Amino acid sequence: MTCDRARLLVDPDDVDHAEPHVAACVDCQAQLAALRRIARAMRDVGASSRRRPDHLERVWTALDRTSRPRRARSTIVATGAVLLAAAAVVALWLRRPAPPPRFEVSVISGSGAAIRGDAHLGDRVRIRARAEDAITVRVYRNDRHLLLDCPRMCRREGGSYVGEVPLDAVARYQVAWIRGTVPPATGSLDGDIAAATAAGAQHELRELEVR
Amino acid sequence: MGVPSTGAGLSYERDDDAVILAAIRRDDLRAALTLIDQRFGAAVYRFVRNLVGADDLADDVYQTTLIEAYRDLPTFGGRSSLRTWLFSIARHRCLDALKASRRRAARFESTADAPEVADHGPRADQRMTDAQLLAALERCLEQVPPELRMVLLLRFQEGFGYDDIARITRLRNETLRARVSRAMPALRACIERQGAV
Repeated sequence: MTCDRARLLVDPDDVDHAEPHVAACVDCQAQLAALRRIARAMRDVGASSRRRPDHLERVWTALDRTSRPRRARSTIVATGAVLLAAAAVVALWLRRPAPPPRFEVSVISGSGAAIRGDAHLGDRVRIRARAEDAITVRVYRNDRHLLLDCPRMCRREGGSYVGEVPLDAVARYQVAWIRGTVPPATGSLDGDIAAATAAGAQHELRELEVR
Repeated sequence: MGVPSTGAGLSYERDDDAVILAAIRRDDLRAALTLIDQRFGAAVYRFVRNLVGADDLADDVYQTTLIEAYRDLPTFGGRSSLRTWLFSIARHRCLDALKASRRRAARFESTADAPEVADHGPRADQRMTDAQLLAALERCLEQVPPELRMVLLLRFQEGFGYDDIARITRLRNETLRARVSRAMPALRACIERQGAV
């Protein structure tokens, strides 16, 4: 016969749960006794097994042995981390955004694409100058007519002043970049440059010819 | 009906941890581990030995258990007793060792899914002497999957309650009870077969 309840009773925690049934069930009693005998026998399983006499010494030795490499490893890791950080800084420095050019002159064709070479009627000249203190950029036509006076007449794009002038006449166009104290423009390239130079400013000239 | 004692573990009190915890607090970890070894080492070693099945491997696993315990002592949170905590470490290390050695391929169908075993009156195991029963039990336990063997040993050899076994094995209390209740008749059947040989 089978007594399922007796199986549960092998565990002391379950004694109260089904004891009334088991107490009156001969089969349950027999099965329970057998299971409990096994449970008791389990206490003696491996009873003869013993730790090595030197087991604790082995633990201390292993701990001492592993702690040194761990310190070495931690040093390597720390050094590696420093090197990685330095490499990251260098990489960031190398990849930092290039500063805008100090001074740039380009010709834009009528279709809007930037082109190089000679300018033509209907094109535009675009100047871009790094926005720094005491920077002035002026565009003249035929040395006599002031067409653009930056920064007053330019827009700001990031770190640059940008301005454009339509090339609407067959003429020579002069672009003057001046750094330093600049007297008010007179409309004459030669006069303005002379005044700026007299005031201690530096300058750079570019010229376009529109045919 | 008498209730069998389920092992020396029942006499364990968490207050016994106080001396060890004091050593941990004063950062005397070697003293703490020495006390842990003195108090729990024999039981933990036997648990390990019964699971891994070989002296050399048991020595290594027990050593690894102590080393891990030593390193984790500063972070022991006291959520369980030191004894439960130590058995939990030992269990993990045993599973690692068994997995690594792969010597314990399942030779015994999982008892969790084992068919119900019918019991019939006085049987061979009931005629065995205690020594014969123990020998047969040891052979049969070797055929029980390690995870289940752990549960049986923790319960009946070490006397842990199911709540503590649940902490050690991370299985639910009800799951543990169900597995034990299915495993015991299966063990009995195995022992009976041993006795019949």
